[in-house]
Amino acid sequence: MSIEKDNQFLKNFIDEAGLDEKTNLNSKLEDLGWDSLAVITAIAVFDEVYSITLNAEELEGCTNLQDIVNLSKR
Amino acid sequence: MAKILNIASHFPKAKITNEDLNKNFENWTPEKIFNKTGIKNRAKSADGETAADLAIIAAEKVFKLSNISRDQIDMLIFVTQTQNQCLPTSACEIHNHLGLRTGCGAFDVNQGCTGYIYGLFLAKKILDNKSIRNVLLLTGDTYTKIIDENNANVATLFGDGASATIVSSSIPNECIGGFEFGTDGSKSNLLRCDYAGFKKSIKDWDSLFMDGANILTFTLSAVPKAINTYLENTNSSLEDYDFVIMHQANKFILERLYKKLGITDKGIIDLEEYGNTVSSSIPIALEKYINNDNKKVLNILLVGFGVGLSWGVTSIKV
Repeated sequence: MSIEKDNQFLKNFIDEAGLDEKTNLNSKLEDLGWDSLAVITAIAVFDEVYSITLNAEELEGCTNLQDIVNLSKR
Repeated sequence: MAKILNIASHFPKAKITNEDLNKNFENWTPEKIFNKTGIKNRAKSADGETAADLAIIAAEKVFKLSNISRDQIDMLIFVTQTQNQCLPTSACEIHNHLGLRTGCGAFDVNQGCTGYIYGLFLAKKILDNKSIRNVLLLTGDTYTKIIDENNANVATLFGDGASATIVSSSIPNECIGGFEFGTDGSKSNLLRCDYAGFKKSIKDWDSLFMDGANILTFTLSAVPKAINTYLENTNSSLEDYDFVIMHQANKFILERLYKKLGITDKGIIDLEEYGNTVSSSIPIALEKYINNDNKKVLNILLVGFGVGLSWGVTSIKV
């Protein structure tokens, strides 16, 4: 279930952010054009998939998408 | 008993298009701006054209639509955060321009995106006073005057506009429901502007600042809770409402809220031609439902949220 949700997060984030389909959970945020809009997209998709509402500060320590996904497992 | 009789809106002539914005923000193509915000155009007030000026024209329009004349208005409420000046209150100047009776009260309300809900609450409570029969509720904001046009976070969203609503007690049935309000002042710094305030000296005034990410967090968390509380307190469910009109912040937020609440079929998104008009966004979206001859009574849930940070919920029958 958790892996399914992680994959759903990845798929939805790629769709919403308009990223290359080769993007994976190990993709580095800095390589994805991480900006304020990407932060907003990540918060919205995370809320949609995990029903957890992150704040922007929680994303500050993340360096790749796996780090964001891991926030659902705290 | 209170009812919204008519609504009219007014916008400045000049527009800011997505193509205009793209000249300032290379990474934001017109398509990208539209896809994220749902906005194609934003009205922009001219130099010296104020929110009160826009509201006066909206009021003249609503008098043409309504059976209520200006001589029958007993109270004027003007919701704005971009007033003409520190004092006098803009409502008094509007009162003069509209030629309202001297026996008509007038005051401003400093509220933003929740302002229309506050305005309806005040109008309804004022109408409990039997000597008052008609309230003219005006909203208006010119956020383009307090925005740094080089700040994409805000320049892509906000447009100027105003609305005028006549709320009357001259009907036998109650058509404005209960209210739910909330405030999280600990997040007041997420959306702020120093202009026309006294906390800082003029030389230190900053233009509109918006922490979009944390406002999204607040919205996704607070708004569904507020709606659920309202439904519980009014013993109603979302199925009881034909439409839900939330503050038209931007398409991205609205789509998520409507999806989260399971109301994508009845949640209204109406900001393509005006942008986020702050206190006027709800009445602008509501206007078409009020002024049409509806074949049946419509139950509409209204939800404001934003600067404060604040939220408010009510419902109306039209």
